[in-house]
Amino acid sequence: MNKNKFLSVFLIIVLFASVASAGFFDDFFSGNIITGRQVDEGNVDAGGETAPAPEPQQSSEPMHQEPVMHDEPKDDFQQDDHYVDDHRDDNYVDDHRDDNYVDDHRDDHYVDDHRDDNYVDDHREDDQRRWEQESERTRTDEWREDERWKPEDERREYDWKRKEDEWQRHDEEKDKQWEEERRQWEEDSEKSRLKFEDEMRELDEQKRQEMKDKKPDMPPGCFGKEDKYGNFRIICDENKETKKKFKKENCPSNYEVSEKAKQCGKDGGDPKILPGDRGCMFVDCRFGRKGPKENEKERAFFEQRETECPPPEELDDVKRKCEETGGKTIIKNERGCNFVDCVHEEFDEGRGFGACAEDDNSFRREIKTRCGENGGTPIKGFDPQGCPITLCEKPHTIQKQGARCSPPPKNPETENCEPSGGKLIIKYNTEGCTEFIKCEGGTQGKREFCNKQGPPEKAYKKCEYEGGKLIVNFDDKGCVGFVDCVRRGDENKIEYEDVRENIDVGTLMDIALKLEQLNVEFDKLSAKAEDLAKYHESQGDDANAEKFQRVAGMFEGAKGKVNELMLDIRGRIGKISKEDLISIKHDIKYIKEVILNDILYVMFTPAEELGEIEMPEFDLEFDELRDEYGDEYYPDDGRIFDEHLRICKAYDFHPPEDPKTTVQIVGVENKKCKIYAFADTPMGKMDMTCFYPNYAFGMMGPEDLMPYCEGKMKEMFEMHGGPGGPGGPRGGPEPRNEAERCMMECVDKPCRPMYDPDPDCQRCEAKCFGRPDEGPEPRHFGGGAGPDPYGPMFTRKCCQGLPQACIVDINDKCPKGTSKVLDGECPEGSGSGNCVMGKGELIYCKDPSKSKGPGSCRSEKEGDSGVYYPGPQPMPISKEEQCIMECVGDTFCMPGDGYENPKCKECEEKCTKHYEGPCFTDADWKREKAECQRKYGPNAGDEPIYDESQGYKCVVDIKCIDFRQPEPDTSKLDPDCVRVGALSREACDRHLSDVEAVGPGCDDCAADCPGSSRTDCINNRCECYYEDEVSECADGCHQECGDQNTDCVNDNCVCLGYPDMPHDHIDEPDIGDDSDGGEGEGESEGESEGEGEAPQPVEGEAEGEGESEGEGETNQGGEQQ
Amino acid sequence: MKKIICLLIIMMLVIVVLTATGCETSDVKSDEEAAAKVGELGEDISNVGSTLDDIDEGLSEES
Repeated sequence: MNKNKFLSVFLIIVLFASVASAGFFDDFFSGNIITGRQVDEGNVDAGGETAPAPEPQQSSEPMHQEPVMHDEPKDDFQQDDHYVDDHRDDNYVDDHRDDNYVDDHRDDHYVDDHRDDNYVDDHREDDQRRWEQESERTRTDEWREDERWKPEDERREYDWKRKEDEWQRHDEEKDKQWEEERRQWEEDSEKSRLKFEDEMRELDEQKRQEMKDKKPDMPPGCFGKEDKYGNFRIICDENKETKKKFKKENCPSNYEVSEKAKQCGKDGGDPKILPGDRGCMFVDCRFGRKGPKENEKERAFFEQRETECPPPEELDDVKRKCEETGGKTIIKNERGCNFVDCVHEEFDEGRGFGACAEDDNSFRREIKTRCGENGGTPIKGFDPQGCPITLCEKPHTIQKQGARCSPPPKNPETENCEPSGGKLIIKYNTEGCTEFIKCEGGTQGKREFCNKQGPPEKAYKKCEYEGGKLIVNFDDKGCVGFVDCVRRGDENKIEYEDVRENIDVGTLMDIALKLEQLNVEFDKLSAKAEDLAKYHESQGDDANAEKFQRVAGMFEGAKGKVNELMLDIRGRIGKISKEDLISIKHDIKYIKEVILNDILYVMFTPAEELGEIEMPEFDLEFDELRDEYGDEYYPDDGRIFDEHLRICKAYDFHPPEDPKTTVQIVGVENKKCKIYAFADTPMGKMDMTCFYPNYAFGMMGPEDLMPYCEGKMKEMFEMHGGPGGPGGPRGGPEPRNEAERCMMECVDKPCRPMYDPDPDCQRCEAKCFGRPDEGPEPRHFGGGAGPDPYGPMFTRKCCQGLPQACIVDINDKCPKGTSKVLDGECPEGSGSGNCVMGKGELIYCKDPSKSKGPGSCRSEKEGDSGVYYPGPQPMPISKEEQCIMECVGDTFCMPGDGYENPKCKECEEKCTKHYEGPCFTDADWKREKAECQRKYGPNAGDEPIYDESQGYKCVVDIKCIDFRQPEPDTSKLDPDCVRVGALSREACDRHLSDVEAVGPGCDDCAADCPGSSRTDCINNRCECYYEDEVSECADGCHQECGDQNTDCVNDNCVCLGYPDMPHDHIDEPDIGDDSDGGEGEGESEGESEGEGEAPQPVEGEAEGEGESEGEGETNQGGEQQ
Repeated sequence: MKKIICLLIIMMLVIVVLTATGCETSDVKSDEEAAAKVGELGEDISNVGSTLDDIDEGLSEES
């Protein structure tokens, strides 16, 4: 018992208890309701007199047996001896034991409620006992009352006994009879039950057999897969080799496909070579998109794109061109615009199974229209070639005007068809002439035309090779009911057809009314599908329940679209344009060709097989295809994603233009498709969850999905280019903040949310969001400056644990392995550069087109994988960055690695020398300082100029400062003041007073005494001695030499000795004692040397003195002191 | 009279509770009925396709 049933039972019990507690059943069971009626009846029975109501019976006593007995007045007993007879006769028993009684109470309820033995025995014994007591009492009283009646009494007693015996016998007989009847009835009941069970078993077996008999006659080599509903999916050829052979024989060659693609390019289209349902490649030649390939690759998946709708004339032009090349024009609606593409069929005409007459939509429509106009009903059938044909359910001549038709074939069966309750089915040829007539239904048709054979063999094969499965559903009679080639809906089936130039209001209203009918119809279909889902849910079959929930959701989606169309038409009545009509026509065809086919596909595919969507198999691998077809081939450009989305089937999609984004289709929830999208970005995971109701229509752009999403990714989308964002084509008129207003004023095109390489976007984002718009910066290493690749949403902050500033998201979240964001300035050495997320979280392939999304590359071939570089693509690359990338090769370098990995460090050192950015290098500093000194001399100063526009602060220039002072007027100043630099009056006065007080000092007396022959320091003053002093000889040298002969040499007295003394005496003690003599001797030495005639002793002294010349000077000074 | 009104109110409450708790039952009672309903759905879809063809015809250029 499931939860709901249990709850229901519980509530019913509660209801019952509530009612019981209200006293309703008390009254009911106490007999108040019925007893009232019985009282009235009892009163009437009592001799027709009105008697007082008797005491109410005990509620426990039965209601149906006591009325007569208990309402009998006592007086009547005493007065009427026949009382006993009257009431003990057979009638009593018969009345109460008659057949009616048995019949009335022998039904199931009686048996269920009263089948126990006690019921009969208890009530009859009570009855009898009461009657006997009453009779005995009455009889005894009578006997005692009157003895005279004794003989009579004896007679009566005899009679009484006799009757009593009779009654007893009768009673026993009746008991036996009753017992026998009861036994018989029980036996009959059991037999009936067994018989019924046997019948049911037989019926089930018969039904099963009937269901088995429904199986159609299989074409040779085919077999049917029956689902639990009796639907058959006829499979005629599962041999892959046969299929390959078929494709090889029928698919156009690679050369043919390539030629068609080239032709498309020549015609101004954008060719795409895609795999078709039939397993062949075909060319989808797209026109009118504004450079779709380049733009799509550059732009992110969840991003508004610039869309320009081509005018209707351009569509007609494409159609003309396409028809010239033998292609088929199909119409597509992308982002609210109609585009016409030229598709070349997978199979050329005459190949494969060949074309069918009703492949031509206009012809099929014509047949249906004519059938309807003649009061018939078009039904589906197949011709012997396996082509689907439209049959008409009523025999009317619908021949074309002027056509000559031979009389329709006649046979007795068809002539008697309608009188026997059948329907005539007639097939017309293209001229409207009757080809054949069949009878379906009725006594005639039932015998002959109950179509148990199903479609011909070729129909199965044709359907299968076209990527579908022929589904045959049988009705209760085993006749073919629904039959169709069920395959996935295909947008390429929506052909572009001309629309009416001028459509009148009446026609539009007629269309609106039909749409209204469709709306109701889709509602009913959704309810039916939901009913089926509930049934399967109650059976515990979750897979089928989910399948029909999905179908119900798809019907809801179709209904929503029809509603939208109705409103659109009503709002445009009187002003509808050709473009509008093309759009409406596209949507109508989309519902029919895509949604309805998808619904049928889901409905008739067993739930267990409704796994991954079966894609056509190809002999060539992707790389070979790529080599073969070049860049025109894309494995999933969103088409496969769209196919999964339309039936909300689980799928992971990595948009080729935005490999860092993953879009996951989760499944159906409450008739909506749950989609989860996320992107691993350097600043962390950004995601959103969507519940998309219109999944049956796929997704034409992110704007379709966004209104049903919640999450950070949606916020980012809305902030940058989404609906309401700056620059979006459908952007709201009002910006939400100053930055958006600024962007709207600055740039008139949509800019990519995270990073847009467009120069205008960069310039404006720099202006409005404070993001730099130029300047290179290596992503691996610090030291440079450049555009922030992660956009204005993200700022650089210093994260503890990393030596450099990192890009953090708006929540200040640091990369893994780091901790909190540091406030204020970055620590020394961390103020430049940026860092990225660690390895494994961001891995991009060298060739972005080979990326399977974050973490892996599509191919393991050399050059495709293993070469990782972080950061989104594309990005401008500086010379320095280019150098680093080439240098590191396969090595993955992070900012931290720059200090640990030798290779990274080496490359950093090597490449950063080539740095050409605005931040100053050492060489810049030296150069600029030299320039300053050249300008202002050695005392030139310099002031650094910083710039923060790169995202961090660095010196980008210096300003030279001239520290030279203007020449002061020193003419009135003391020269000493000028000498020492005290050039102001105050400074000079202070200097002079200081000099006065303490003296000027003897630091540099040589400088203080220019031109002096010698100096001395006396009282902290330099004493200067000059050559022009009074000669020593001026006083005649007597003081110096006494009586000796003297001479004056260089103003010094030279003692020449006494006139009569020999030369030996000259050098005696006087010389050694007179230090001054030394000097004099020294002087004389020179003199003597010069002359060569110096006396020997003097000369000898002079030699000794000459060795200590300096000392001599000192001594001289000492002497002076 | 009061008891009858009480009874009706209680019954209505029970119905409301049963509906709110999703205690709805499907019209489909057996696999045979489900099979018939699936076939019916298929035919209904074909009919809807015809209606869409009519609308498409109304929009197409008159031949």
